Amino acid sequence: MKALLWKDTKANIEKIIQNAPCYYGIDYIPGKNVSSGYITTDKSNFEYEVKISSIEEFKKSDKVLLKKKTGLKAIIKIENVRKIDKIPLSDFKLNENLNEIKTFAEGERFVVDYKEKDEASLSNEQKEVMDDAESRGYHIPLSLADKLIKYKKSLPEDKYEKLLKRIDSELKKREIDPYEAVGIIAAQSIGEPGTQMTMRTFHFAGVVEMNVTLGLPRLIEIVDARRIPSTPSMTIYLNDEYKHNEEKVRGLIKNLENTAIIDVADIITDVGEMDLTIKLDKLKSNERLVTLTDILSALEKIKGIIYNQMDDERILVKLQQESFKKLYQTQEQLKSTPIKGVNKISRAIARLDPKEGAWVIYTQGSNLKDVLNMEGVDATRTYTNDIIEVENVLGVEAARNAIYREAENTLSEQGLNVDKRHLMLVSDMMTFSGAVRAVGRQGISGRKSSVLARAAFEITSKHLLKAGLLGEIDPLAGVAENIIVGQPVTLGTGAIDLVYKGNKK
Amino acid sequence: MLSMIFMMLTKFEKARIIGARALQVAMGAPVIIDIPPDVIDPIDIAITEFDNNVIPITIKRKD
Repeated sequence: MKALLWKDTKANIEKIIQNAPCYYGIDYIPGKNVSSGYITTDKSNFEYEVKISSIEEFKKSDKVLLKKKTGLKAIIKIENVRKIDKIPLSDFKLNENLNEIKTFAEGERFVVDYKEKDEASLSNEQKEVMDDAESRGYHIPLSLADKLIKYKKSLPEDKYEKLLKRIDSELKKREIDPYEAVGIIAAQSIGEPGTQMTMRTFHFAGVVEMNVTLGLPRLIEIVDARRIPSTPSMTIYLNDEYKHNEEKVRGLIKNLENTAIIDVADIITDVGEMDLTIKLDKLKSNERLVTLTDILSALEKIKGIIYNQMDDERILVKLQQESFKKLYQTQEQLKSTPIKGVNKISRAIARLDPKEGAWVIYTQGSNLKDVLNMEGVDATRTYTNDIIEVENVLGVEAARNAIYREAENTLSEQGLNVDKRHLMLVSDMMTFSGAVRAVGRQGISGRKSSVLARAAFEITSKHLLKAGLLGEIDPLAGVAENIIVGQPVTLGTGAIDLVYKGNKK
Repeated sequence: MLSMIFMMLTKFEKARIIGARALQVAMGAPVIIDIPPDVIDPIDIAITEFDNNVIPITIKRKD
């Protein structure tokens, strides 16, 4: 659906809002199938959405609001105007390439096509099996349809019936009644295996020369939603062109690993001559595939120095202004000058993954945004264990899944089985507000709406004093508040109201 | 006539009804159906009444 995009003044928009529905004269002739419009005031972000019902040729009339006084070409009928959250110009597919809207443009808004898997998408065979199960009185989840088809063919009738009955009863057993205190159950179900973990490991487990935090420290890290995890790392999957080609993988690793001058060369300071010598370490530089030319091109970006290549392994660096302070500063600057690689990624290792049957790269350090942009990387599967980074690059919904996946992995690596719904509840609680929040003072517990609940958690007097000053009201809706007051909590039996039915005899 | 409408109760609702009725019985309320003379525990009496669907109490569900 085509939309009309235009820039307008605040005063004009005010007028439209006040008079809508109204006619509006514009100096542009829109295409025929335009039925909606977006207005911007700053050329790039759209703040208003309008519904356009008809487009006519311009003629003078009193009823028409005018965009400007002269040069008007068409009248559009605006049905309604709605203020919307700002959407950028990049959300539209335009007829021509524009960086900003100066006057008018037409474009289509990109829409994410989202489809729920529903019964309509089942094949006939699947439908048959599901209907059959339904008619026998068993409720089977759709995801099991394929397996049921297989078993229906291979199993004798009485055993098949038994199977359905078993699935149905197992599902029923796992159902939870309304008002069940799921939070407490989740907390204990994760907490108890957590105590086992402390006893077994508080160490690092090596993954081919690489350290990854595991066990309890990692679980605490996830739940605390640390900005930077102690061992960020990435698993980079490659696309078809790269994943079987060892040479290309080696090349990719070269471009991944962040190499500074100090990693491949020695820097010698001569105080008498007031100069620095960069001496290439042959062994280290061969390992990292860095040549002297790479260093020379990296030096180009540094200001205030004059450099000369002395021979095939030494570079002489002189200062433009000679001073001891400057000399020292330049030495420090040279040490950390990056030659090549992706920022923050300190090491990368390729392994032939037996499950994949292809090369997979593991890294120390994480930079999801830059890595996803690299050639040869399969952006759909590449993964980082830095949850906050996932949130920033891919959004909260991805962060929710990352929290779940990381927690599940740390627990299952220790051989602990926690029902996935407990972990899902935790990750949902951490992300439902739209951003990742930690469990604890700064996060979930510290931002409860009830004063008494916050006071019950930490720094009691501060919360109570503040609430008293601001005159906060506590509706006593939660658990902690009701316990403090001495009422039954609104969970389980306490949440149920009884009514006298009367005698109907 | 007994109410024929079948109502699925959660375990909490069932517990709450039986609890409330048992309290009434314990405080001397007349028992609605015939109970064997050897059953004297008010909770047992309330459960029997519940199973026979004679307790004059229902649940008001919040929406």
